[in-house]
Amino acid sequence: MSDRLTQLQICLDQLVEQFCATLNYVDKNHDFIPTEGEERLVDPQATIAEPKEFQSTMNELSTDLILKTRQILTLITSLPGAGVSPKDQISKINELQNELNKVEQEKIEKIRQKDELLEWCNGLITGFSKDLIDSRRN
Amino acid sequence: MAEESLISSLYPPPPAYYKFFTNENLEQFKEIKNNHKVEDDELHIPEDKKELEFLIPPRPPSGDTYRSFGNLWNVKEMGIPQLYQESNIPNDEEDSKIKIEELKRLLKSLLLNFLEIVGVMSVAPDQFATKIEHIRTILINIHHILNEYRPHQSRESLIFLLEKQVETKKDEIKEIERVCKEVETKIKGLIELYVDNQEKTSEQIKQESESFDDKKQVENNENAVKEES
Repeated sequence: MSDRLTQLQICLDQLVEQFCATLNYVDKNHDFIPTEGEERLVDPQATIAEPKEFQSTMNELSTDLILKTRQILTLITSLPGAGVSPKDQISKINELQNELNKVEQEKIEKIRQKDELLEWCNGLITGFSKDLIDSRRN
Repeated sequence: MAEESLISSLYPPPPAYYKFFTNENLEQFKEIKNNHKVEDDELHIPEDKKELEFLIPPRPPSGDTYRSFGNLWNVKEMGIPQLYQESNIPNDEEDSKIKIEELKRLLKSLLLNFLEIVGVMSVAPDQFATKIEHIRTILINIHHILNEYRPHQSRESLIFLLEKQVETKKDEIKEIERVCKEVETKIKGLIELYVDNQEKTSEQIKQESESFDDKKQVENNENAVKEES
């Protein structure tokens, strides 16, 4: 998953594409309504949608726009680090860096202890098997 | 043609001279720089070290335009009005909050402007241009805020990553401790079991015939138990 800002930029692009698509649909499929005393215009290139269908598609497109806007709003609200100053961020980073070093040292020490235990186990096993062989021999 | 598609691809390959930025070359360049103490572009690079010339940083663009990622950019503002407020003190804790609020406001303006363009198109389709221009300005402003927010987000991501690393390392330590403890208890149990058995068998053996080695073995194990505790 990409970061919040990239997601926002992608969503904005999608929103603008939806703007375009919506306008395009209205442009291509709208009916002609004559003003008073005029004849109804006919455009052979337009595919006029049924009023019911036109209305439902319009509803669908507007709902999509609202949903996309809500999505963008949610993303904006969840932008990381709101109300934190860069100074605080930097000191936090330094702090974490020190902690990381400390934990790393601790880990190295633990691994050393583990190796010691391993060595001890090895000695134990070798001693044990030697004793076993010795006792069998007798 | 091939050249052109190379330039217009999203991320062009790095310029060929990046290969000259070796540690060795950087050292040499530093040396030359320290020896001469002049402005970078007046540095005298020896004939046999021509590739070091690439290490001299270029001058900032002097004209109105510059190239970046194969596109021509204007140095000056492109006449886009700024539609949002900024924090008076740059980089304080209010800065990010203000940006978030401004983004929300701009988004709502964007939606309203779309509504307006639909309205304009239905009444006077020939007057769409101003509204398009408004939408464009709003979008550029939004993208500008988003890009300004990037460093803030990057620092925040770094904090997150560091926290995660510390967490992982702590988990690893816990896991090592757990396994060590387990091994120790198991061996302790085994040794106790073994010593018990050994005492019994050695008693049996004692009954049959005295065995020096077995005794030693028991001692050994006892020592091991002591050592451990």
